[in-house]
Amino acid sequence: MKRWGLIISLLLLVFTCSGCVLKSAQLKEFTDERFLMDTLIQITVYTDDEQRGKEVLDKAFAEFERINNLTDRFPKEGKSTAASSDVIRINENAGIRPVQVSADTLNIIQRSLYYAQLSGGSFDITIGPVMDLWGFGKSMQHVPSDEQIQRALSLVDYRKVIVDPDNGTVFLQKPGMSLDFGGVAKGYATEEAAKALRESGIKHALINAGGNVYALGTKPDGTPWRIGVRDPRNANGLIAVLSVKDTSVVTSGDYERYFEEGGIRYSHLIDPATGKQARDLMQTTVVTESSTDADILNKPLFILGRQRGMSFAESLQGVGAIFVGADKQVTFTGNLADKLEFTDNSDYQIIGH
Amino acid sequence: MAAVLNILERAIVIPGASPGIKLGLANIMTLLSIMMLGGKDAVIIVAIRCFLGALVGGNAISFLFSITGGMLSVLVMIVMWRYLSKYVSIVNISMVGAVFHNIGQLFVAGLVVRNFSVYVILPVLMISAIITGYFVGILTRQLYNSLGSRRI
Amino acid sequence: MRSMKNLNYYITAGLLLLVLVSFAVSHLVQRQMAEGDLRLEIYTNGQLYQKINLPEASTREIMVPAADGHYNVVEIERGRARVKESDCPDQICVNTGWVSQPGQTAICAPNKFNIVIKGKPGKVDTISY
Repeated sequence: MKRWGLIISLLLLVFTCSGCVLKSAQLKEFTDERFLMDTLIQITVYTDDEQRGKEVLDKAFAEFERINNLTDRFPKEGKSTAASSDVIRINENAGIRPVQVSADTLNIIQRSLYYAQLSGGSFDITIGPVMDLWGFGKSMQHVPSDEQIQRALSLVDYRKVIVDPDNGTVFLQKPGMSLDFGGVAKGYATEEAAKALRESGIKHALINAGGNVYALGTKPDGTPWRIGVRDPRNANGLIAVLSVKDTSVVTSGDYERYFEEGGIRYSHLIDPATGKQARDLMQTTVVTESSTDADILNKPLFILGRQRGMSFAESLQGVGAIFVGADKQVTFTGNLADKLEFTDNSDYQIIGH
Repeated sequence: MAAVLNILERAIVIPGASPGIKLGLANIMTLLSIMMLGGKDAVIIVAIRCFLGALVGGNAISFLFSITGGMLSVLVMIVMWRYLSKYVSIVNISMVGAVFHNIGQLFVAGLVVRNFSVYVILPVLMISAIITGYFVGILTRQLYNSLGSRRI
Repeated sequence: MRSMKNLNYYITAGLLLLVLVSFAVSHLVQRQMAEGDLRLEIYTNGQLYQKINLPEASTREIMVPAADGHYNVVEIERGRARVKESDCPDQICVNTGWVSQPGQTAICAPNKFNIVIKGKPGKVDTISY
């Protein structure tokens, strides 16, 4: 009898050597920051293993690099044309021939054209010539003449972008046209990075790509992520906090890229209809699941201004938006009411929706 | 007796079945040792198992979790078996042991993150402890009876 | 000896009770975590009289009646509060001045009245800009 007991005990022991650990594994935080796509990308993930944490971060950053290589508009020195980004090749062949591009580029273009149409042209990725005219993306910016603007505008028309999904090609009909993905590349890359994280089994993460935020899942303790919205006139302040999960929060403002001439601020947010800056709003924030959409939608909302922007935002499913006017009045779509918390920032007047 | 078991335990390190089964068998083992080998041996076995566990697949923190939960649980069960076995069923002892095991682990978790937020999972942990404790108790009782219901 | 006989049942009952208690604990902890804002709690006679969310509160005053016709006046501004006025003899509560940090209190013993700041100020995980 005793021997049996011994044997059984031994067998059990053998099977239980590592049976002591708390089942709900302890989650640790892993963060990394890299300078990509002309901005600082910060990614934080929560997982139980250091090795996995590092791997997963690398995978996410790799997505940013991949999309950057496809969409970068300004040729890097030493790169031959064939190896350059899809966007460069499309632009170089404007008015000449269709160019074969990757599925991601096609995706971005199709999504952009969709919103271009929906917003009546307030968002237009063919804005390249106008951006170049103003000098955004180059070393020197200056205020162009109206005549110059009109000429550049003649090359801006999203309807002249011909996409052939079956052959995977894109063709810009007029010579001199050029695509600028500045308003969508970061968002798309963020979405791809988030996908990579999800596929790796990550359940809690935060991506901040130069202000484009994606909150994956909840915080490790189950509460929603708290995303602050920066005060447009104070880099150290906040005007609001959003409590979200599995959602993108992307903000555009006239403070991101601008130059001043003659005491007037000229931001990079240009109205494709006029070729000049939209001045009704100081800042817009879009809250929606897709980072690509969030990135794209900021532009038309900003340009449409408070009234039309609000109507447009409200017409979209699953999209929330916050508008900060040049008059310091803040409005927002009703669907954000339970997620928004305003800080006691007395500079701004909260109007509501 | 315990020494022999310990040496063998040290010598054999084989990854076993799913974590749930591993945990269950570990608890059966612990309770059985309390009942058949005595408190002292049981404590030693638990300690060694936790050390091994940390060595094989864990780290310093997971060791802290397991040793706290394990010790708390085994000590409570020893006391119950030694003084109350006439009035309290084996199944109950097992369930109480499991509960204390989880409380111990959660307590350490709370200290590690320096926050009470870990206690949100307390109900889940308690319920699972009671359920697994119940089945471990039943199995342990059967084993105990078939092995002669006495100390060795 | 007799009580011991029922011990088994007591233990089982105790375990069930434990489960119930654990739900309460979990709920409490969740509530604690969810409330990120600063709150002011006003107590009279040890009972909660009113709860006010501080960061959003506009400047105002609250007259709080105490026993025997006594009173305290609480003044609130964005993010802080104080006992502005009181008819108590020693005026300790008034002299405490503004409180704004969680845990800070102003107590008026004679009137059995006190205010306390609860909760933690909202913190953000990252900023969209």
